[in-house]
Amino acid sequence: MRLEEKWRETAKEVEGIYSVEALAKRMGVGKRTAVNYVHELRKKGFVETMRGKRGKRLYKINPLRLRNIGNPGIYDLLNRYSSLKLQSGVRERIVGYRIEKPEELLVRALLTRDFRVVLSAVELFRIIKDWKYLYSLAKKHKLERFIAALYFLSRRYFRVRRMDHRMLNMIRKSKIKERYLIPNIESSDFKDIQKEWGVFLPFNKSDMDRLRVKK
Amino acid sequence: MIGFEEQKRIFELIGNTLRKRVECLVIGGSAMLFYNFSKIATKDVDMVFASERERDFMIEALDKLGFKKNVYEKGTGKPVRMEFKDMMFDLFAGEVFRFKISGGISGRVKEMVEFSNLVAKIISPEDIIILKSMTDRKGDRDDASRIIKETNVNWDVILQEIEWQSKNNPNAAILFYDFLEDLVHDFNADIPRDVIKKVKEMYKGMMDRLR
Repeated sequence: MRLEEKWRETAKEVEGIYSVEALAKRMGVGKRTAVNYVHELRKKGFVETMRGKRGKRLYKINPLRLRNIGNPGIYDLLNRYSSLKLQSGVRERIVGYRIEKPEELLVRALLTRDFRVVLSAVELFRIIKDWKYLYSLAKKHKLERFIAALYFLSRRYFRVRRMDHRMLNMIRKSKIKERYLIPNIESSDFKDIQKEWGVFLPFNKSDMDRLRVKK
Repeated sequence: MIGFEEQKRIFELIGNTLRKRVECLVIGGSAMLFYNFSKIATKDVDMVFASERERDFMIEALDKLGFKKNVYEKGTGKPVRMEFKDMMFDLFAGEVFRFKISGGISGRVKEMVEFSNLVAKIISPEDIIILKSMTDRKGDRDDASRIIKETNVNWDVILQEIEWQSKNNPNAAILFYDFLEDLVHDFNADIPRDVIKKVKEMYKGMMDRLR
């Protein structure tokens, strides 16, 4: 049996999420040996390290190895920036292109029209600097008014850099094309923001409280 | 034969050629290449599009790249085959032969890879096995036995899907039962007995209904 197959067989046998102690117990070996197993399995690509409660290191062992391809997608990038972590059963990758700027990440997140993704993306306003670039992207996808509404919403919850007033003026002049960011979902809070920008925000106060951002 | 790197390059090329953003499910041997199984190359690339319109965008892009239409039979479930040198693309719309793309299959997608305008969704190993059962080729059985050998297959998912498919297509359970029999006898695949028993029950039920 080839070495690769042997390790795949081991990964198949112990598939699951373990701490070192749990893995040692499962395999009937000592803790040191379990660490060695994890080390070897990781080299072959069968182990992914995760953090559990109180930062405890957990090992996800899976015989199914997706190839490393391209650059991270929006889920991974949002998890890097936002306090609201997203879990997805689908791994997203982008080949031949890398999302470098938070402005682009924000627009891509809004385009998903997914509640959790958009909520997580609101926090990006903390690091957005290039308002001109954001405006050009938003205009391309007809999202200008949603960007403005979310910007004023985020200002109520955390410190955000001031938006360029020229950009705000341009957004005010833009036409309202679509009122719902997420189809048929409108907030019962933040009526003033929604009225000012002529769009419906999907979040209530309780949703925004889920973002654990220091003011 | 197309290897993973070659497939990646051609997908990038297609993504840059497509004039609209198109999503597709990557199935069969081509999906297996994304999973790092011991299979290293595939004969053809199989893709399923949600609609005929999306498939037409793909045909247009492949046409621009020099691919030629080889087989074209109108009707749902029938693929459009595009060929260029030794490369082959089978493009389906909505169905793979008489096998419908259920919400379950779309929901179990494991990876979504964006190649510019082409978004490739890689179906789960369980669904690869199911779709492999729709044909009668030895190579497909070999691939399925390889998946069973190299990963822990969730048989409950497979049983649920076959049951769902049987409602639309009575042949699904019959084909799948024959497929499992071949895997056990010809490829020595490790398939739980109760799974075979359940599929056999579905098979018998379908046969009775057909009589």
